[in-house]
Amino acid sequence: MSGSVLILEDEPLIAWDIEEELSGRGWTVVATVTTVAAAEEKLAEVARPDAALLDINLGNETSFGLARRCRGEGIAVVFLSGESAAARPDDLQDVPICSKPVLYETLARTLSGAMSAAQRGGAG
Amino acid sequence: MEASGPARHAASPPVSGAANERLRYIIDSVVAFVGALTPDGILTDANALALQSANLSRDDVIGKPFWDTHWWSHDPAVQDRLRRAIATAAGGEFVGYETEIRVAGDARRIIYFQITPHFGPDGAVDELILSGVDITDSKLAEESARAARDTFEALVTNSPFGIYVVDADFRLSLIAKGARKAFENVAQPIGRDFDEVLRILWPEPFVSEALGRFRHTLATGEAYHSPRTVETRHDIGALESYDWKIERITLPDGRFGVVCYFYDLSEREHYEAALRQSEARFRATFENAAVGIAHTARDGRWLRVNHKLCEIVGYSAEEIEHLTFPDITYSQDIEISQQHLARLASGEIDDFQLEKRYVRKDGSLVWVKKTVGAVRADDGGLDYFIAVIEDISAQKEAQARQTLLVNELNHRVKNTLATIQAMASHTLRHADDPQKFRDAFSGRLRAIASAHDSIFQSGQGSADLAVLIASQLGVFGADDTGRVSISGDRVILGANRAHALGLIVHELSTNAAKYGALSDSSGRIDITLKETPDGNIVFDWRESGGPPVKPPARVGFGSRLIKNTVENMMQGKAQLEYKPEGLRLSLTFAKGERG
Repeated sequence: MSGSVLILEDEPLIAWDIEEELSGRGWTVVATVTTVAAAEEKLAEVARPDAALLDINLGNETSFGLARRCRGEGIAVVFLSGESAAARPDDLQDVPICSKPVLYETLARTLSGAMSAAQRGGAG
Repeated sequence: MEASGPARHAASPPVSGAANERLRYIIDSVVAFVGALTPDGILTDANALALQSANLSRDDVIGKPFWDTHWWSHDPAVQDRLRRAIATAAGGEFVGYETEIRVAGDARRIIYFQITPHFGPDGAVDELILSGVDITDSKLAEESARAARDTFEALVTNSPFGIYVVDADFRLSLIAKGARKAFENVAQPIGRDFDEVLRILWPEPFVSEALGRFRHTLATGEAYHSPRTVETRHDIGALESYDWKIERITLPDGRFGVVCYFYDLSEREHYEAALRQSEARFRATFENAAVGIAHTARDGRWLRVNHKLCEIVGYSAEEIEHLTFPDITYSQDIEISQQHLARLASGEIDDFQLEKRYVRKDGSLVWVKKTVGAVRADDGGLDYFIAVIEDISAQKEAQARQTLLVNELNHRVKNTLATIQAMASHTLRHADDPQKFRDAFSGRLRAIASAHDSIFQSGQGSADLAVLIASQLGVFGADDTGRVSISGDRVILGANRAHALGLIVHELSTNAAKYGALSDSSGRIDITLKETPDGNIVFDWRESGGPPVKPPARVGFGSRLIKNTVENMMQGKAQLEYKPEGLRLSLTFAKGERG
């Protein structure tokens, strides 16, 4: 199962690669952005994606606030991080996390799982 | 007492008739033992007192060997002595000695006993006259007087205190054990003139004054006390101080004497001075220690704290002494502290070390390392705790910083691996065969490594764009040929942007070396950098003089990379032109962002 996804990743080369790999697996990448502000801008101007793949650590900021907002809007969230799972705050412990470097099969499956859960009205 | 010698009596006239009766009366009334013996020791007469004293009748004793009578038969030694005395007297000599006799009720008396030989007309001893005087009472009195004198002397002499006695003749008569040291430099002090003795020890004018005091006390009985006399002793040349007192007493000889009691304060004063010094040293160590030190009671009260501890917790010593240690311990650390203290107090452990937090007076927390030991009383029970407290906040901060750095490093390594992964898959998508993949991928890895160098060499996590470009071009050996120029503003980019630009320049250089200005010996590249007042960076890459340029048949990785990173990620503009005279690229992007 695939759908539309927003990618937030501050390393352009990685972002582009994820975009290619997800596109190749049937996903529609609605936007690929490097900052939280850019992500929020895109969310306001384009159609709501089914899922958001968010890199946690973006230099001076994290994507936790954006993750809460996405969940609030029923968008499935999957974190991407170079750090261990323990880096998430308590209220975001149930958000699935894929660690870098990622296996794209795993990433695609995790996104699908999160999307199904979100559509069932569950968390994530 | 014993005496013997030639008889003092010559032959005495015989006694008879009424005169005899009268004499008998006199003899019987004498409070002494009177009697007579034959020269070979048979008792022929004894006065009533002698008989009564032993509860005897004349028949019990008259006509018997004197030594076998009740008075003497209790002790063979006494009997033996008597026989010898009788033999001596029988030989014509007077004998007198002290001896013990037995009287009624098996009691003993001491008598002075005399045997006087009586010479007959022929000049031979014909009778022995006995007389004895009871000296028991005077003997006992004498013995008890001697015992009293001995006791007195023993008491004084064996006393460990400073006591000595001067007798009525002003001679030093007794020195207590505890006073001997004071007289150690006086040869044979006992019996010596006290005036002489004292002058060996003390200088004028003190010695005359002291002797005057002794004489006055001896004469009048008035006591004298000096609580503290400080003088330099003659004999040892040292300043000594004494508490001394003199009193008149009656000595066992019945005469007056003066007893002096003294206490050597010097020793106590030396001891006290040493104690004060030791206390001062301890206080200095305690107060000036570079670590916090505290004595705390079992109930947690601070008994004593040093300056450093006050500094660590931000309270004054006065304030802290009204607090207990839980009062200033961070709530989460109280329980563990108390558990350790309980184990220490019970003797289960000898000491412990703990890292904990104190709440400073201003409310801030301070990390300390606390080492605690127990001081125990003589009975083994806890007296108080000694705690040494080190401020380890800086250490803790350094630890936290280090943890942060390690996490950051981990994050960066993972990101770099992800970047390489991305680079590998991008290269794979555009490579026709493994050899091309290998060349392209290796070149891009070197570009990534080189971009890292440019960014991290500065130590700031940012890079000078011109340096970054030069380093990427350096890979192709083009920087020193004079065919490449970099001009314009000095632009500093954050890590991410610098990294992206590094890869773009790598792709441009690779392309120039393969197909463009650097593919022959005549082309050149001019790069200009500009930072506009509104915070945009303009990067202009212009190739010229190389082989004629044709647009590529398909969109390559380089142009995709430029478009993606600059237009999509940086929201910038990329204008790529394949002009016949050379490739031209103009990038405009916000410097903004973190990189």
